[in-house]
Amino acid sequence: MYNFLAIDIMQVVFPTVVLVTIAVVFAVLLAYLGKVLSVERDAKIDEVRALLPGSNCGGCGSAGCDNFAETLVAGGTVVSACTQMNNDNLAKIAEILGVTAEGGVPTVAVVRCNGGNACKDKYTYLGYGNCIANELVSGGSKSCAWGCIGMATCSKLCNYGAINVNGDGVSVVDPKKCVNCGLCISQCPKSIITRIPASAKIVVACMNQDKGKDVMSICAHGCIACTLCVKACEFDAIKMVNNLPVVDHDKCTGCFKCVEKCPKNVIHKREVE
Amino acid sequence: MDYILLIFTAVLVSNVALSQFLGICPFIGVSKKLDSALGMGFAVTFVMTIASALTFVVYQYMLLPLDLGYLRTIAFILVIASLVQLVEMFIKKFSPTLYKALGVYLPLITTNCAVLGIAIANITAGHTFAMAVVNGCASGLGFALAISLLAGIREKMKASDTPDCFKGFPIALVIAAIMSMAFSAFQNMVF
Repeated sequence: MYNFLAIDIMQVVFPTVVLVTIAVVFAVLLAYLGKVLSVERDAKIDEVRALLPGSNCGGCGSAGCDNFAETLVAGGTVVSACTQMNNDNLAKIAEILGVTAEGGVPTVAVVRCNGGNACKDKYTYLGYGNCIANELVSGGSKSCAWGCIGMATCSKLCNYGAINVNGDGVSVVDPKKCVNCGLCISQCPKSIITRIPASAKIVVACMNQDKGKDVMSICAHGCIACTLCVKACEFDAIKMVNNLPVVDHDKCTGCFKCVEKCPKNVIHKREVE
Repeated sequence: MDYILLIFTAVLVSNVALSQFLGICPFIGVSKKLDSALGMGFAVTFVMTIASALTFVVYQYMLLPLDLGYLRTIAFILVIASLVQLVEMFIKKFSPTLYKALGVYLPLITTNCAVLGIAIANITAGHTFAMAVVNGCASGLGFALAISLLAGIREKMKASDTPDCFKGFPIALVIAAIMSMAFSAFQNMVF
């Protein structure tokens, strides 16, 4: 045969054969040892893992869903620690684990403040620009102890882009994007992010428990505990507790009379399907 | 004396990450926290030591007799990749604690070019078997030293006011460059 490349064909074939041999030997060795050295793993872990949300949000306190599944099967935690899970999957996991678990009402996070720029500043803050650092300087720059600082610590933390600071300097949760992981709730230095039933029709966007006059002097959008909402409600769904209206979302029918009556626009309509 | 010189050279003078610029990927990627940096550093040391020994044997007793020395790069890649898998399986089986400690870093080492770099450097420098193993171990320790130092500095950097455009990897690269300059001082040391 005429060798048009003018090379010894064996120079190509021989190294190829040697390398392929090495590769095959390693492959067989690995495959064999993989079986010999395989570690028994509880099949439940994989079953449970398949039912978890898989977003690795860390809201349960474990390092991701894999870790949560392992801890769960080992009995180190409870199913309900996962706040993202829907009730169907919760029931299935409970069945696998042989425990009973009752699903709650699906909830989302909500920022309970309406103040922002309408709330007076105690002093001018010139710092790193995050809420946690701000809070360290004599309880934050806002006059209100329950006032959103608006430096977007929650917004930067959120893995789902569900919180943004609006034009009024208040963080607002987008309920469509919120997965209820609870990261913002745990990090907000003012503790004004709470959970609310996803189906709730109204939300009281203020957590100031001071008396009306004190609130009035520091914030134009704060609850002054005037009880107009309680009187406006025909369904007995609102009660005054510690100078704040507390809504019973089961009784609320969404007539929005309280929203209309509130002189400070503290009670907000929520957009729910 | 030879060995002491070898260790000093591998750890300080020609540090894998800071003067040979090998393994920059994990050097920057896994240096956010001191804990994980130490984990990565020791996992690399571990694998590098074993890989140095194994690649030496493969080269001397398989490739050289067959006159295929020029195939060392591709052959070493095969050896190191399989070795890492094997080591991972062994550790998973026999020491779950160590497996948890090394965690995800072990499989990550498969793609660490420093391991291959040292394996090839052992051959080009003409080391004996014992010297190759010592060099591998010391180079790994050098990497562990460099990555822990960088992680320590980066942990401090978190609390400082870095310009927005420098946050994260850019400032890490700047730190690494300054560390590299500092380490270059060792090159003038006379033993």
